Amino acid sequence: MSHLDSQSMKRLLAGDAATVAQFREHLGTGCEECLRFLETDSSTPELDGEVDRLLLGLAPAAEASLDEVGFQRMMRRAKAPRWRVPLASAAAVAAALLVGVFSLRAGPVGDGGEAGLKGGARIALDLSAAVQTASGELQRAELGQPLPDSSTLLLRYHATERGQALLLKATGEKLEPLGTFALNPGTHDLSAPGGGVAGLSLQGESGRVQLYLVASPGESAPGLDAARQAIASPGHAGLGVSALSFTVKAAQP
Amino acid sequence: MPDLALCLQQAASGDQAGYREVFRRFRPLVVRLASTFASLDRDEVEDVVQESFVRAFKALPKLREPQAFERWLYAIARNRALSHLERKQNGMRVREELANEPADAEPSVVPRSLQLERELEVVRGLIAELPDGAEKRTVELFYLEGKLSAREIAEQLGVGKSAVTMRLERFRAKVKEKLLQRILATRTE
Repeated sequence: MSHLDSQSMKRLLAGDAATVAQFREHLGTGCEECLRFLETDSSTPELDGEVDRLLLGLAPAAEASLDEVGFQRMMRRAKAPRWRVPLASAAAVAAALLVGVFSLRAGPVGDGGEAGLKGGARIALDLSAAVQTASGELQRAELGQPLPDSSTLLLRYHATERGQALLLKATGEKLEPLGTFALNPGTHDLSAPGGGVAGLSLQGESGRVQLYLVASPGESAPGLDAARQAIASPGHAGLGVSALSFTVKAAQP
Repeated sequence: MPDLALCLQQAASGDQAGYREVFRRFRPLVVRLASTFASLDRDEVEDVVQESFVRAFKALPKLREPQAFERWLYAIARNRALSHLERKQNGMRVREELANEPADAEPSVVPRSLQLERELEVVRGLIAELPDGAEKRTVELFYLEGKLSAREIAEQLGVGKSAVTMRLERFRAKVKEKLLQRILATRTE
């Protein structure tokens, strides 16, 4: 008895009578060799697409909100002269250490914190960070990995509009403003008012920490109360909100 | 919820509202699909998602049957994910277009007589038939409940993410085999 391979798959799907007759009984016998082939074979994209449609269609459909920043990125990419933007483009390499390390969903303070991002009605944001170790080395931080308190977070943002933003830190119930920043459309380092990349030392922190960047498309940054409301209800007053959530591990004494 | 065929028609004619709705509706599912590849990190999954929609939207005017869109999008996403893996594993640039990227112009291998609801019942039956154990629990959590990511399931079950994705791939092969059987059956009926 022969087993499935890419040639027999092609013949099978083309309706070759002999191959169909051969496999009609064999399929479904729990043949390990055929299952192993089906696990790795990608020669029949339409069949694969249908399998994925069935599998992804099993769970109850959840009402998804639009990932505004992701959508805008995708549209820019679609309009780019080169259709496919290589992952290792110069810009991506330059940004690789800083961008996309975290990108966590904005939510109420104390929220469980899930990956994603959220934008307001008029300005959408994506806050991300890289970790600078005590030795000055830049590292990617993996989601869910605790950060040593000797590290510094280097912040970066993506904004759809020009605006002003307030950066806040939440630990437990406490929400603390860290500073205001001018934002420009596109992806940039979160620069301190005097210039330079804004770094946030984690020294003295421990446990779960959340950072919020709350932005207004106007000329002045949101106040603390407005920011608090926007964090609790993203989209409030047209403010954009993006959050990072991470855990800081204190060094052993 | 707006009619998908209408949204696709809008998108195919360049209307941004159509793009937005299709992206909103399918992005979470494409993320879930891409996240079943254990070796892709979060940034790579996002890259797969972006590339998939860019390619799907670009080729949308060629799509003849709106009902084939979802299957077609997932095929593109799987293809993109495999390209990323190939690039990552071989340390080389992959071919721009894999030979097996779906082409809607070709005759469909999935017959229209296969009804989605009926096929979903068949897949649910396959899950029910799995012996109680790690594979069944993993499949239930990821595909039936659909709330936890592969990483979160790994954490909940106390195993590595790759163990979860291997179980999902295994079950997926069983679904593929069953679907293949059913396609063959429609040809011999």
